[in-house]
This record gives sequence, C-alpha cells and structure tokens, in this order.
Amino acid sequence: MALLEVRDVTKKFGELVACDRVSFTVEAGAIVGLIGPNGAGKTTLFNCVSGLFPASSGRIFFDGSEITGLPSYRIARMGAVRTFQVVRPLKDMTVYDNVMVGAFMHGAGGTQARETAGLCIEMCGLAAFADRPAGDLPIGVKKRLELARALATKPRLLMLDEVMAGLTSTEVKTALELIRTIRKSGVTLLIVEHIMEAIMPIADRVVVLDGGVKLAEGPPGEIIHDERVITAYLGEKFSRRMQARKEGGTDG
Amino acid sequence: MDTLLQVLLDGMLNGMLYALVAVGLCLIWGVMDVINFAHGEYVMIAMYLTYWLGFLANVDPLVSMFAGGLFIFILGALTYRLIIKYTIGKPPLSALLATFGLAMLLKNLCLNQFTPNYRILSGTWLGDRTFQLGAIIVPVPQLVTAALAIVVIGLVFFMLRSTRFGWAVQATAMDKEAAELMGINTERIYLLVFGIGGATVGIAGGIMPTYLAVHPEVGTMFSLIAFICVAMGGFGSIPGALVAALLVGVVEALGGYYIAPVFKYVAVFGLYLALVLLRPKGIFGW
Amino acid sequence: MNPHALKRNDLLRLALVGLAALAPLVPAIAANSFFMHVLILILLYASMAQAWNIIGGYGGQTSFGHAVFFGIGAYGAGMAVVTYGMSPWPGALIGMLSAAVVAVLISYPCFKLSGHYFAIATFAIVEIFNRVFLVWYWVGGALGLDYPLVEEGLANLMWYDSKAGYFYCALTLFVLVFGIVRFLEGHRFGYYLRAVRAGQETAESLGVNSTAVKLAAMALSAALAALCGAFFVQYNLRVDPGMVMSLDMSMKFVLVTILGGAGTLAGPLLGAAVLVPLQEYTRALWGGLGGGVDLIIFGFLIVVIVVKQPAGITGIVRDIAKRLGRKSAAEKGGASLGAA
Repeated sequence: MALLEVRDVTKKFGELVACDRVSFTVEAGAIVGLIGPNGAGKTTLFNCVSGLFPASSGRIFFDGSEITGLPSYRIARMGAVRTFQVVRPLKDMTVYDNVMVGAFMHGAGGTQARETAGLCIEMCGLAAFADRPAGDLPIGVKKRLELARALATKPRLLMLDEVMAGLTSTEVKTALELIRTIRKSGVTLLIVEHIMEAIMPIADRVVVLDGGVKLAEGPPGEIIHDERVITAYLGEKFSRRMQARKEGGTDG
Repeated sequence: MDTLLQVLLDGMLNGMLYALVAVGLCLIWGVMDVINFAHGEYVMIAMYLTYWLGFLANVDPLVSMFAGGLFIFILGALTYRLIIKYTIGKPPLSALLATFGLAMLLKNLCLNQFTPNYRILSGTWLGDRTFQLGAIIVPVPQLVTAALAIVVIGLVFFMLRSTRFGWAVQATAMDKEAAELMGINTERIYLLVFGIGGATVGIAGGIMPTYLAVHPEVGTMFSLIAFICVAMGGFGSIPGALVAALLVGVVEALGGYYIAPVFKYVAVFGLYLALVLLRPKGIFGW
Repeated sequence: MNPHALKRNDLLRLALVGLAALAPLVPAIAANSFFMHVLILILLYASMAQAWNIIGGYGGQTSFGHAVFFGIGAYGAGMAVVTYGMSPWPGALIGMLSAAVVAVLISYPCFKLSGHYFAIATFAIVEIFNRVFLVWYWVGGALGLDYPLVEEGLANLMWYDSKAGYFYCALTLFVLVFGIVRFLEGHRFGYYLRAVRAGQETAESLGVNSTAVKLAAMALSAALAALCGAFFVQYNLRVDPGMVMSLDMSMKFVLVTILGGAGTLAGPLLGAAVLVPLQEYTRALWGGLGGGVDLIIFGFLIVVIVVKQPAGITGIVRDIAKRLGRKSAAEKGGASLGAA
C-alpha cells in the first residue's frame, strides 16, 4: 500500500483550474520528484495534500486513512509535513525556538523535544545560528531552518517545496547529501523541484505536471527522453529540432 | 405610529451626526490603517472651542464651526507629524495605544482647565427651534447638522473620486510603495489626510454645542461609536460608514425608546457584533 | 545554547528570587504606610498585566475586554461575601471558572475577526457587560456591592488594622501568576502560543492546533484576571460596574503590559513598577489641583514610550545592555553584535 495516494485531485480558483484530476502514489521509503514548468500547479497540489486549502474535488489518502479536507495541523500530526517554497520562518523566535516548535510534536516533555531539536540543528548545519532571531538570516540559512524545523517533527512523509531554489551549486550538493541521509533514516520524500541537476540524481520516480495536468510519470532516465516532457519544458520548436537531429543520425 | 416615526427621525438625525464624526475616521483608517483613539477628543476640543467663542465673544457656532474645523485640522496634522508618523511601520497596536495616550492627555487637560461641569451654550441662532411635520416635531439644530453632514461627506467623497489629490489619496491607500514609485509624496498625503479627517470632526464638534452639552467626557462615546460605524461600514468605505452610522442612530433610538435608555448602547454594540460576525469585513469592506 | 543568553535568564531569575526573598521583610519596615499600599497595587497590577500578557503578549491577540473577566472575578468574590455571607474563596473560584467560560464563548467567534475588527469587538463586549451589570438586580445594579464588617483573617481574606495580610496575599498572587507564565514559557504550550503569534498558518503546518491553543490561552488569561479581580474587591471593600467593567479598566491591563514590554516575563512587573507609583503619587500630590494631572502625565508618558520604544521598558533595558555590551566587545576588539 502506498504511503501517499493522490486520486483525481482537482483544484479550481474561480474559473482557473490549477490542478486537473491529478493522480499518483508515493511508496514508503521512496523519493518522488514532482516537476514541471512554472505555473504547472505543483505548489497548489502540495497545498491541497498538506491541507493548507481543500481540493475542489478528488481524494487523498495517507497511510491508508483519508486526509481529504482535513485541516493542516491534523495532517501534519499524522506524519505528513511540508516546507514552504517562500520560506516562512517564525520571525520573532530564535532559530532554536523555531525548531523546537517542530520538535514538540512528538516530545511534549521539554527534554525530549530539546534533544530532537539539537539533533536537527546539527544535521542541517545551523548550530552557529541557533540563538539568532529567525527573521534576520540569509536566505540559505532560512531554507535550512525550514528543513530542520520540518525534520524535528519526525515526519514519515516529508514534502519539500523547491528547497534548492536560490542555493549555490556547493549548497545544492550539501542539500542532496542531506536528503539522502534523511531517506536513509526511513523518511519518505516528495520533492517539488525546478533544478534538474538537483532532482534527477536522487529521485526514484518523477511525476511531471504541466498546466495542472499530469503529463508523465516514471524513473528519471525515461522521463528526460519523454517527448511530451521535453515539449512542455523547452517548447515545440526545440522539441521538433531535437527530433529532427535524432532522426538525422547524431545524438542531441 | 407617530411615536415610532418620531423615534426614527430622531435616530436618523443622530445617525447623520455620527456619520459626520465617523467620516474623518473612515478616511484616516482607510488611507493609513490607523485607528485614532483621540478622535472623540478632537470632537470635544472643537466643542469647547466654539463654546468659549460663543460664551465669551458671542460668536454663533454656525460661524465658529469653521474655526473648529481649522483648529482640528492643525491638531490632526500635528498629531500625525509628532506621533502617528512613527507608528506607521510598527504593529497596528502602536498607533492605537499612542492615540489612547493622547486621548487621555487631551481629556484630562480639558478636565483640569475647564472642570468636569456640563456646559450648555444658550442664545445660539438655531437655538431650540423646531417645526412640525404632521404630528412629528423636527428639531432644527439637528436637522441643520444633518444637512451639514451630507454636505461635508459629499465634499470628501467628491474630493476622493474626482480630484487629482483624491486619486493620489486612493493610490496611497491601496499601495503606499507603488504610489511612491509613481512620484506621489505619500508623507504629505498622510499629513493632509489626518488634517482633513480632523477638520471634518472639528466642524462636527463646532456645531454640536448648539444642542449638546459640553464636558470633558463627551468624546469617549463618540470615539467608540465612530469606530463601530467605520468598522461596520467596512474598511475604507465612506458610503459604508454613512449607512452604518444611520443604522447605529436608528438602532440606538429604537433600543433606547422601546427597551430602556440604558440599553441604547447595548443595542448598538450588539448590532456591531452580530453584523461583523456575519460579515467579517463589514458591509462594504474590501 | 549561547552562554550569554543563559546568563541573562539567570540574572533575571536571580533578581526575581532576590525580590521574593526580601519581600516578607517589607511589612516589618513599612507597616501601614502609603508605601505599602503602592506596593500592593504594584503586585496586583503586575499580576493583572501578566494575565493579559498570556493572550495579548505571547499570544498576540490584543484584547480590550479583560475588564469583563476582572469584573466577573470581583463580583464572584463580592457576591459570596455580600449577598451570601460566605467566605470569598468559593466566589473567587466560581468567578475564575465563569470568566474562563465567558472568555471561550466570546473568543471562539471573535477570533475569526482580523486586527482592528477584533479589538473593536472586545470594546463592544466590555460596554455590553457594563450596561447589563448596571441594571442587573442580583448583582446590585448601579449601586454595586458594599462590604459589611466580617471577621478578619485568611478565610475571609480581610484585614482591617494592618495591610500586611493583603501584602502577602498580593505577593502570593504575583508569584502564582508569574510562576504559571514562566512554566508555560519553557513548555510546549508556550512555544505553540508564540508560534501562533509569529505565523498562524506556519504553526499549523507544524502540527499546532491554533484554535485550541488560542482558546486555551484566552481561558487561562481570563481565569487569572478574574482571580486578580477577586483580590481587588477584597482590598477595595466595594465594587460597582463603573469601577471594574469599564474600558478604562481594560486599558490598564493593556497599557501596563505594553509599557513594560509585551511577550516578556518581566514586562508586566516593570510596567507596574513604573505606572503604579506614577499614578498613586501624582494623585496624592496633585489630586487636589482640579484632578486629572496624573492622567495628563500618564497619557503623555504612554505616547512617548509607544512612539519611541514599542518594546517598552524591556526594550529600553535591552538597548542599554546592548550598547554596554557593544562597548566592551569593541574594547576586546571582537566582532560587532549587530545593529540595535
């Protein structure tokens, strides 16, 4: 049984259809990438799954139980936790306190929460910033905070929304290592990503959205050769040129 | 039936007074999201001004109310420049508390200087005149005040909609930074808006001694009622404030007459709660 | 954790413990003087402000309705003594519970109102309660409740000759309220409450049930405010709607906290320690000059503090500490501590 099942989820804003009958599953222990050009509906889908707003129609299941329409705090408590694309540090609180808020989900007693928070801060390289107010930090550190905070909730499914955006290539490499470590500790990951070099190496499977519709799904190796995907990302003209070149005998 | 009509008339005339007091607050709130707790104290000060001018120099409020308007325009501008300006970026509570302090200061200054005694201005031109409309008695001072309210509110509305200055004000209200990028001096807009808001209240307070007693506590209730009118009407909506004020006036009159005078305000505040829980953004709010 | 942060907390704790240790000596020194009265009021106002601080400071929900809870507590104790001839304690308890219930019933719908709308709604509620109590026969209406002579002692919370009993009671109240808040600060509830203030949606994405947290904070805040009200009526020996269920009383809760520093543990105490002496001494010295002078100064002070330092006295202290710290760091040639 899949850890997360998204079934025919549609989200409309007035007349605008942001997600159109999207369906896919995420198996426990897997890393699934959710990719697509800008405006494809990836974050909207995330918001529906995490309960930030309800889907217009369709159903969502987490670990066998239906989570469609549940408020976000309930879904988070069940073990499906997300980060935000535009980071949302709790500004008046320190980095340490931010992570503690996450840690308290499973450690009502202060000591256990403090342990978890300390671990997550170490893991994400935030020790130097622990006592700084979260609002005053550079963007890279804020992103690490976003991740550390989510990790502190000991999620079973961690949903990352464009966690690599704005990072330098060194930072991307560190982040990838971190994600691999997280997976090794048993956490399932659903990752929205824009940067191909970031998601393709680590994802087991990739789901491609475009204009709110699921275009394709499969292992990264297949997806990059899928014509519809190429067209969606790079446009018709380029795709035809690539086709022509392939047929012409030389590789693209 | 006649009593009902009388009560309704009194309520509506009172409502127009509330509208006149509220329009300044609506303008200020709509443009800079500031609740001026000292709004009622502005009314009180204008009342004292025209009272003293009338009592000491025999100037009729119909004339001195313009002095009231000017005086409070200056007071409003000063309030902005010395106090409000510094609370703009900060949490909304700052402006509210700072103006509360100002209200306390102004109220007690007048209490200290003028004693808590109720003062009534007699011998004004409008005086106690009334006329009959069927079985209904129409009080002239209140009627004139209501007409004045229509004129002032109309002028403010017209200014906002049809003058260049008004458009600059609306732009600043919607997006301060964007307005600045278009070359609008938002600092000056804020200053003038506070002044204009003050001026409207100054005129209101100016004419009120014609039929209302002047005393240091008179402002507090006006503040609360102005807040209620503006909030019920909806953030930034002058027609909303007008409609809400009329509603408040009528509900207050009906509540006071048919239930008990002490429940006048229970009805009004109850109305606010009921309405705002059904429409959290007010009648016409955006 | 940063060693400096620990030091600051320890110093504060030490100061509070020191104060608490010295406190019992006070009645011996100051027996029945005006000074004792001022101290009692400081402790009472600090407790009131700290109660408000729970929902207003830490929770970030500016309520101007706390006079209602204060009043319910005062009337609870007052009714027990005056109407039913009992000890005030059961009345105080009932007052606390009623206040909590009223708080939850009112806040549940009101929390969906934003900013100014919420604040105005809380004004409206105070005014409504005020009018209702004015005409309600059972609670004494406009005349309120006047205390008869009762036996002295803790059971009746009443002392006539010496203020020492009241002082110890106020001290206990203070320690209780501050202790509760200190406890919550370090535990999950405190973190969740602050998270809701810092970003409700974000907090919810981390598993925080923001509605439950806010309602719980409101209930606790109301119950503690009611307890303060019960103490007040025992000290004041009378209560009427104008005295407790008024906007002015509500503003006391807000102002003392904000002036001291909302959302901090020491803020309410600092605010009370400054405002109460100001209020009482100006009233004593200049009350005869036509009244209101203390409030003129008070009003002026509020304007200045809110404009200059919205973080209140705590903020002023922090700024001074930072400036001193920066000087010593510069002397050591160390890194800058960041902008003020």
